[in-house]
Formats: sequence, structure tokens, C-alpha cells
Amino acid sequence: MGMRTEIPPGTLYMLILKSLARLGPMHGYGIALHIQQSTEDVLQVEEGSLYPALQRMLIKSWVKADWRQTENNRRARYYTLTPEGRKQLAAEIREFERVMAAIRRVIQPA
Amino acid sequence: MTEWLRKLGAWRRRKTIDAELQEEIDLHLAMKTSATGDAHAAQRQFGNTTLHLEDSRAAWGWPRPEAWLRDFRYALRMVARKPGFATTVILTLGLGIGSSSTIFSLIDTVLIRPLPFPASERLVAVHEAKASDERSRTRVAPGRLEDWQLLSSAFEAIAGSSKDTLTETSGPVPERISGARVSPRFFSVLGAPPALGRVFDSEEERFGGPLAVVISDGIWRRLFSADPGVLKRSLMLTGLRYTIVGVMSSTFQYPDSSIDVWVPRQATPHLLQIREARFYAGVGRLKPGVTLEQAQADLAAVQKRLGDEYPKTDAGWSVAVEPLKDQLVGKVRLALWLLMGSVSLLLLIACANVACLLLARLNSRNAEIATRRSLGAGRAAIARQLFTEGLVYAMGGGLLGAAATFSGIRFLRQQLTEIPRINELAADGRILAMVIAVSVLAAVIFSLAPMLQTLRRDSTVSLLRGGRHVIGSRQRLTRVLVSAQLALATALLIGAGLFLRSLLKLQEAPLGFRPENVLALRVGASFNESPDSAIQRHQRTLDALASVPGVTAVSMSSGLPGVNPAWPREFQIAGEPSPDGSMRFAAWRVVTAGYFQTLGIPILDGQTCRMNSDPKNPFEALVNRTFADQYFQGRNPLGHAILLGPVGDSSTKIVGIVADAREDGHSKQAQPLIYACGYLRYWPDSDFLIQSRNPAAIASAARMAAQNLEPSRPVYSVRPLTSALTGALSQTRFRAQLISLFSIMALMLAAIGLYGVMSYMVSQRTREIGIRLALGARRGQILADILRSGGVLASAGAVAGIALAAVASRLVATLLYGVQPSDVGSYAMATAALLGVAVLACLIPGRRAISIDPTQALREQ
Repeated sequence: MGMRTEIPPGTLYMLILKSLARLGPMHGYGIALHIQQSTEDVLQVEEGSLYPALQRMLIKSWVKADWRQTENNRRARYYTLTPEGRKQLAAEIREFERVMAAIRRVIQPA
Repeated sequence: MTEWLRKLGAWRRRKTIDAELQEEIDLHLAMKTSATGDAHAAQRQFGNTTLHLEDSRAAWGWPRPEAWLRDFRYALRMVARKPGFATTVILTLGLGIGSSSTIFSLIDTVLIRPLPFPASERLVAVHEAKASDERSRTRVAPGRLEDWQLLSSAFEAIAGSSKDTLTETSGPVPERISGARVSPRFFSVLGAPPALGRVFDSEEERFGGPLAVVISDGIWRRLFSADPGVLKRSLMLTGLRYTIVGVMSSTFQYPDSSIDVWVPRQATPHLLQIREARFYAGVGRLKPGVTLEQAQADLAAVQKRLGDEYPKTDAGWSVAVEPLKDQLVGKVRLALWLLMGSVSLLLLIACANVACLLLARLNSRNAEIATRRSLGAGRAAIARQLFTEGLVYAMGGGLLGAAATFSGIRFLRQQLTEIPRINELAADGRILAMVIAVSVLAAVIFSLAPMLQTLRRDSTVSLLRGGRHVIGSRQRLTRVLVSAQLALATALLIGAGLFLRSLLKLQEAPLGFRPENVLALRVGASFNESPDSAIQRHQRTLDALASVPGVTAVSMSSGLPGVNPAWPREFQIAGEPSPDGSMRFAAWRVVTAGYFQTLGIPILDGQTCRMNSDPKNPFEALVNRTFADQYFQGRNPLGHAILLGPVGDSSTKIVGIVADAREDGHSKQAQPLIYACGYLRYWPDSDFLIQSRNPAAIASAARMAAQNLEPSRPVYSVRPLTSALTGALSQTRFRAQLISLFSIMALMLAAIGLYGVMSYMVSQRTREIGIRLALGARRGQILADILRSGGVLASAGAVAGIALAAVASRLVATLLYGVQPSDVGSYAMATAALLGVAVLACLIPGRRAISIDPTQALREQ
């Protein structure tokens, strides 16, 4: 059984936003594939949880979606980063760095 | 904000959004499969598709209404699947909710709601009272009322009224109507505007002013068909024409609900000087911000000054001020709270019962719930589901309860006519709101238990066990609930026993007179009749009634024995001032010589009086034994003279002593009483008592005989004395009946609860019992075992119920008559009834247990 991934939703948002920022408009599978490959399978992302996250991001207007043809001529929903999403990405990264720095201070011997 | 709008917009497109999501996910899986060539791996990597879909929908903020709706539909299906179970639950709830909302609304109307007058919290009842004893309350003399109004600074105004029966003669048949003669300022004190027209002006309130009448909503509809033009018309009251100036609304019911008309008293200057003529029920409106205590102190100080000014009549008197509401409803308060207490217990039992039923049902749904849990339903979702099911039952019960409440209210209005403010009781929105509140409360209470269970339990275990029993804690909770029901039912049964025994004692109480063969009727009096003609009229009436075939004795009296209490009046024994100079009071009834024979009251010494037909001559009197014992202590009262009134303005000679009779009613011990022999005059209406072997049979002949003497004079209330007495007990009887009804319903519910638990236990233990039988256990042992476990529950309940009743019955001790709150008989009977029903409730499942076929029981499981 695939365990439910314990990634905090905030991190998932950040990963999605970063992928879109780096590679431009993508469909859900593309995003999942990109995260998987770039983390070299370290993060066990339960791919399905991408979709609820994408829906929430749509509501918050961090991304927008439109239906396009894939290279294989299938209809797929492509997600594009919005200016708000870009701002959010910056904020998420800042927050992430802050937390990581804090954690590092705790675990590294002085 | 925009986010919220987007969500709202999405709600309308939710079908499309769902379809698009599905398509997107399908594509994802297809791509993954074609990339890896392993569809299973793809799905595994993806996770629970349905769950993700749900999560996505949740993002749009719809899960609540949608989930509730789904829960609701599911709950409806679950409820409909077991119609028998659902019927039991809904009936139980409907019973509990219906009876409690009915009594709640009664309490709300009578005790809680403010009186229907503007700023009614400032209305107070004012009484005269002895300075030595504030409880010795009496009515207010009109002259003193005016003094208070003039001198007191705590009141906006003080007024008074006295009830009177009047004859209305403008129609073809004389009609007896009930009126209030009111002092000046009466309507301005109460503050309620008339529905039509106006109230009295100062000219009409003054002696010699124009005659005006304000009529009630009831008589406006009855006599005038609610004609708005009624203000130009008039009423003939006791021979005088009164112009109708106003109509009060139906909620205006002061001094009580029987009043048809209000007329100004127009007290004569002479009446205002008679300071002993205490006949007004006083009512005052406090100035804003004045407390009850301040008003009491202020008015007491005023009265003290009056005592200095009029030492002969006012010294030694003070005042008593109480909230008007207390005066109007104080007498029924305890009885109503008692009903409220009983019905709350019933509601609790109903809820506990439903909780038990739901728990038992939950046990048989272990597998279903465990499956849903492992498919990803959260504990909260399951709990919500159970709560929704509870709500469905509560809605059914609530609907039934609402119907029961509406008919219950109608029933109470018909039965409890003597309760004050009962006319204000109506089925309205407030009651509906109350029913809804009670239903939701009930739903919360009875779904609490199953919810707690679900939240606590690890469901995977039960799934593994094929959904079979987790006995432990759930069983414990059920047992506690059942015992609690039995305890509450026991307490109610004990209460019912106490009140039924009180009622029996009251009915059996020796009245001291024999009402069985007596017919009573009442003849109207009139203010403008001269004493001589009144006396002659009474004599002719007595003669006419005596000549009706079958009549063996007749008499006249001021009030019916046992129904209308005799009024207290001051007296002195001639030549014997009371030792401490205080005034003495004795009840006073005006009767004719035949009274004692008609009612079968034994004359102990002396003889009955001789009637005196000259109003100027002194009259004779008889006294009861209590009077003789209390005031003559072993000496012979015969021949002594009694002076009446504080200054002894009339005197009478004692010619006989009679045995004590309960003139004031079943529950009242005889008090010192003077039977004054004479004829009533201009007030009040006189009662005639007619002895005959079959009083009902001569009723119409007696009425004819009385009516024929003077066709325009009303003859009314013709009925056997026994039925008048029954009416006097009606409140006590109705109270006992209601509590008995509640306690029987409680016992039934508790028995159903116990039965349910025992049946469930037997069904759970089928296998065990099968094994024991196979190993050679005797069936008697099995049955004893089951009866024992039921008996433990029942005994625990009975003990707790007895303890509860022992505490609670003390609170209502004043409502009991001739029975101690700790009456052993009532406790024993209630306990026996409970245990008997408990045994029955256990025997049925017990019989099922011993008829278990061991081979079959073992093979099945």
C-alpha cells in the first residue's frame, strides 16, 4: 500500500510553483514527473494529492488552467503560473529557508 | 472576497469541474501506465482516487452541505431499512417531546411570561394586613384606598376592584354575567388600552356620574357578535342602563378570566367613610425604579399615620405588597413545577431509551462501520453520520411531538380551566420553536452515547472478527442507561402513588355532611331590592321548592358547603373581651333553619334556630364544635351573645352547637364557624339546597318552581351537590392523573429499554448458552442466570429511584394531603410495580434463551 505522504501542503505548493516557474505551462502528470525526477525519487509524492493541491491553487489564483492538446494529441489541462503565484513562490521559498535555517541551527553542533 | 465569489461561481459549475478533474486524473493514470507499463504500480503511486477527488472538491468549500446532504440521504435509507425499529424510536421520542413541550408551554405561559400588561413588572397587589402578622392579608376598604393613593409616594397610582355577579336584562332572557366593580384609576394602573373605544373618564368614576361599562372581548363576541358599532349600545345591569364605552382585548383578564364587564364602583361618600368595609382587591403601579421593599415600607408608614388619625379603625393595621404576578399565579406555581419535573424525567427516560436502542443497533452495524472506516472515512465522518441519523429520528419524533403538543395544549385548556392565565395558553410560534429546541436537544443527547463509542473504538479489530461483539464498555454504558431509566420511572411511580393516595384520602375524608341526596341551585340577587321583599322572596322560594314532589328538606345558604369557603369575620363574645385585646375571627355562613337537616349535620346541643322575618330584630346563630371548644373551653356556649364587627354593631344569640363540617372543602380541617340564621339580601346570590332521594331527577322541577315565582330573575347552577364537590377536587384529581399518566409512560419506556438490552444480551450469548446446554446445564439455571442479570439492573434502578423520590417528594410535601412524603405504601407499590414489569421484560428474552437448540447454535457460528 502506498503510504500517504507526510509532505506538508505548503511544501507541495512550493514544489509545484517552482516546477511551473522553471518549465512553464505543464499538465498534472508533467508536474508530478518533474518533481519525481528532480528529487531523484527521494520524496515519495503520492501523485494523486497533486490534484487537490492544484484545485486549491486555482482558487487562490496562484495558477490558471486551460485545456490544450498534448504532443500525443490528447486533451489535457495545462497549468500556468500567474504573477500572484510568482509572488507566492518567493514567499514560500523565503519561509522555507527560514525554517530550514532554524532547524539547521538546532541539529548542527555549535 | 473574490475567492469567495469564485467558490460560489464554481458551485454552479460543480458537475463540469468534477468531470474535468476525473478526465485529468484518468489522463494522468494513462500516461503513467504507458510510461511504466504497469497499471497497478501507476494506481499505487497515485493513491486513493476517490479520496483525492473528494479532497479536490473540498478545496472548493462544498463538502459541508454536500456531505450533510449525503449523510442525510444515507441516514434516511438506514432508518427506512428497519421500519419497526424506526417506529419504536420515533414513537418513544414523540411521546417524550410531545408531553414535555406541552408542559413547558404551560409553564412558559403561566409562570414565565410577564403578565399581559405594559411594564407589568411594576404592578403589585396591595393588601391590608395586621401589623402583628403580615400574612393575615385582607382586602382594602375604599376609603383607605383613597387615603393611600393620596399619601403614598411610591406608587404612580393605586386602585381596587371587587367581583360581583350581575343580571343583564336587555335580552329576552335574563342573563347572569360576571362583573368587576372598579375604583377610580383602575384601568390606568393596569395600563392596557381598550381594543375598542375608551375606558372610564373621571366623571363616570365619581358617585352620581353617568353609568358606563367596559365589556370583555368574550361578551362582545357572545352578545354582540363582535359588532364594531357596539359603542353606541348599552346594557341593562341590575335594572340600570349602562352605556358601553369600551371593549377590552381578550388578553385583559383582571381580576380573573371570568369577568364579562367592568363598571365603576361609584362609591358613595358614606361608603368611603366606612373604614371596615374591606372589599377591594388592591392593585398598584410602582413608580419606575421603586423596589417592592421601598413600596412596602412607604405604604406601611402611610398606614401607620392613618392609625394615629383613626385609632378606632386603623390602629394595629399595616399593609402587604407583593408582585401582582405572585398573587395571580402563586398558588399553582408549585403544582406546575411538579408537573414540569415529572415530564422532564419522562423526556430523559425517552432519550436514554433511544440511546440504548441506537447503541444496540450500532452493535449490529459494527461490520458496516468498520468497512467504512477502512475505506477512509474519518472518525469525525462516522460520528457525523450517526448524529445525522439521530437528527432524522429527532425530526420524526419532533413532528409527532409537535402534533402531540398541539392536541395536548387543547386538552389542557379544556381540563385546567381553573388555572390562572390558562386562556393565554395557545399553540404558537414560540411553542413550535420550543418543540424544535427540545428535538435537537434530544438528538444531541441520544446520539452522544453512540458517538462516544465510535470515537473511542478501534474498528479494524471488529472488522477482523467479522463484526462480532465488543461487549465490554458499550454494554456497560447501555446497562447504566437502562438502570437510570428504571430509576427515573421508579421515582415517577412513587410520585404518582403519593398523589393518588392523597386524592383517595381527600375523597374519603369525612366531610361532616352528606352531599349525596342534595340538589343545589343558585338564585340571583339584586341591589335595588328592599330587605323586606328579599326576605319574602326567599321564604316563597323555600316554600315552592319544598312542595316539589320528592323533596324532603330545603334550605338557603350563603355559598355551597365544601365548595365556597365561608368568609372570616371579626367577632367578640359579649362580656368577654379577648384576653390580649386582639380581634377574633371566625368563618361566617348565613343559613336558614333547615340547613342542618338538609345536609345531615348533627346538632350536638341545643336546637336549630327560629327564623326571624323582621330584618330589624336580632337573629339567632349556631356554632360548630371547634368554635365551642376554642372560645368556650368546656363551658356551655348556649345562650351567650356574639357581637359582630370590631365595635359590635350587631349581636346574635347562640342557640345550638353542631358537629364540625368541612365547609371550606375536602382538604381543609374545620375551623371555628358561626352559622347565622337569616336571609341574604342584596348580595350575594343565594344558594338553595334541596334534599331528595334522587336529586338529579327533581332538577328540572326544582328549577321550574324557583323560576316561576319571578320569571325575570336568573336561576342557575342547578346541579347535584356531589358534582359541585367533584368539581372542587378537579385540580387535585387532574394533577394526580397527569402524573400517573407520565409515570405509566415512563414505566413502559423503561420496560422496553430493559427488554431491548436483555434481548440483545441473549442474542449475543446464543453460542455460549448453546455450549452450556450442550455441556448439560439445566434450562432452569440458564433462565435464572438471565433473570439475575436483569434483576441486578432493575434493583439498582429501584434503589436509585427510591433515593431520588425520597429527596424530591419533600419538595412537594405541601401538595400532599393525609400522606407523608415518606409514605411506605406508595414506595412499596411503586417498587413492586417496577420489579414486576422488569421480570416480565426479562422473561420474554429468557424464554428465548432456554429454547435455544444447542446443536443449531453451535453449528451456526
